[in-house]
Amino acid sequence: MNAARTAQCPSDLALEEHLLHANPATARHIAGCAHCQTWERSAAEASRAFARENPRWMATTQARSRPLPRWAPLLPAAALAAAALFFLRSPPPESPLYATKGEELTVYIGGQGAPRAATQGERVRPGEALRFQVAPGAAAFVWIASVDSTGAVSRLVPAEGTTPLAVDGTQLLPGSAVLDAAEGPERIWAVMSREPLSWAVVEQALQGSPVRDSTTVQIPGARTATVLLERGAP
Amino acid sequence: MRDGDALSEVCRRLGPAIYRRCLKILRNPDEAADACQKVYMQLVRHRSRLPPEPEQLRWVYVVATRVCFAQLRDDAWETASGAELNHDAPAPTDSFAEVADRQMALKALSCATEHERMVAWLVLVDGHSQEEAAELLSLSRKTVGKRIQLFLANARRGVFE
Ligand SMILES: [Zn+2]
Repeated sequence: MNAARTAQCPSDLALEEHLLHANPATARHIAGCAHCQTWERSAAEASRAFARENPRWMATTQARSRPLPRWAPLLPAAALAAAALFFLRSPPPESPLYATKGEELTVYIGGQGAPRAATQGERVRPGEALRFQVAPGAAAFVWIASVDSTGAVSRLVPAEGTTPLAVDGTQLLPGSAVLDAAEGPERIWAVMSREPLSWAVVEQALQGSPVRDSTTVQIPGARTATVLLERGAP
Repeated sequence: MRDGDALSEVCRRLGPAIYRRCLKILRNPDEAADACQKVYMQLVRHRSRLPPEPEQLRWVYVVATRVCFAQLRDDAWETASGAELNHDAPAPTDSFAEVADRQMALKALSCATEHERMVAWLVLVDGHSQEEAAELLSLSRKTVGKRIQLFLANARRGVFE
C-alpha cells in the first residue's frame, strides 16, 4: 500500500523540479515523508524504463494510432477516485455506509458481495479484506493497528514509513488489510493524536493488551477507538 | 536548429520527466510511450516558440497532462461495466481495495467531463493548489474551483449513494 499524500507534500511538478535541480527544502521533506519516498522510488523505476525504451521511441516518433485497451483508463480512474475519496469531507448523514454512524472508527469488510461495516464482535472470514474509516472530529494523526489473542501487535495503516497518516474530517483511509487463516478474536485500534506519535510508542502501548478488554490501553496524548472482530469461518 | 537536434536535446533533459508524467496518468508503459511521442511531436512543432529553459519542465508537464487526458477519451471512461472490470484489469492482485476503488471510480467519473477530470487530477492526485492548477491550465481560479466542486459533488453522489 502507498502512503497517502500529506498536506505538506510538494506537488508532482515541484518533485520533478527537485529531480532536475535539487532543492534542499524538498529534500528535507522527502527524508521524512513516506508518500514522497514512494514517489521517488517509482520515479527512479520509470527513469530506468525510459532509458531502456527511449531509443526505440525516438526512432519512431510518430503518433501511433492503436485502439486503447479497455482497461487502460480504469486505472487512472481508480487513482482519481481514491484521491477524491480521500478529500471527501463529511458525506451525507443518510449514507447507508454509516452502519456505525458517529463512531470514530468504522471497519469495512469486503469479500464476497457488497462491503459491510463491522459491528462489535463481527465475524470475519479468512481472505476477507478490511478498510478503515476514521472520524477524529478535527485534524489528527492516525495509526491503525490490530492486536490478536496472544497480545501480538500488527501495524495496518500506514503500512510503511515513519509517520502516521494526517487526517482531517471523516476519511476512508487508503489501502486495505487482508486477513490470513488464523482464528480467534482480533481487535482493531485507531490511535489518533494532535501531534504525530511514533509507531514504537503505539506498538508498545498495545503490546500484550488483553484482546477482549479495551479499557486497559492508555496512550498519553492520544485518543483511541476500537472494533473487536472474531476471525474464522462461521 | 533541425527537428532532430531540438528533439534530442529536450528529450535528453526532460524525456524522463515526460515519461513519468505520462506513466503516472496512464499507468501503462505502452500507452505512456504513445503519449510521450505525442508530447515530443508538440515539442518539435513548437521548437521556435519554446519557453526559456527554466520554464520548459512546467511547459512539458502541462502538455503531457493534456495529451494524456485527451488520450483517455470520454467513451473509454464510460463504456466498461462493473462486470468487465475483474476480467479486463491487468492488476496481478485484484485486492478488495482496488476493485472497490475501481467500482466507485466508474460511478464517480461517469458524469465528469474531460476538463473536470483533468482539474481534479491536478488538485487531488498531483497536489497542486487550485491557484496553481488554474495557472497551469490557463483558467481562472474561479473556473477551477467550480470544476473541483462539480467533480467532488459527482464523486460523492457516486460513492455514497
Ligand atoms: Zn511528502
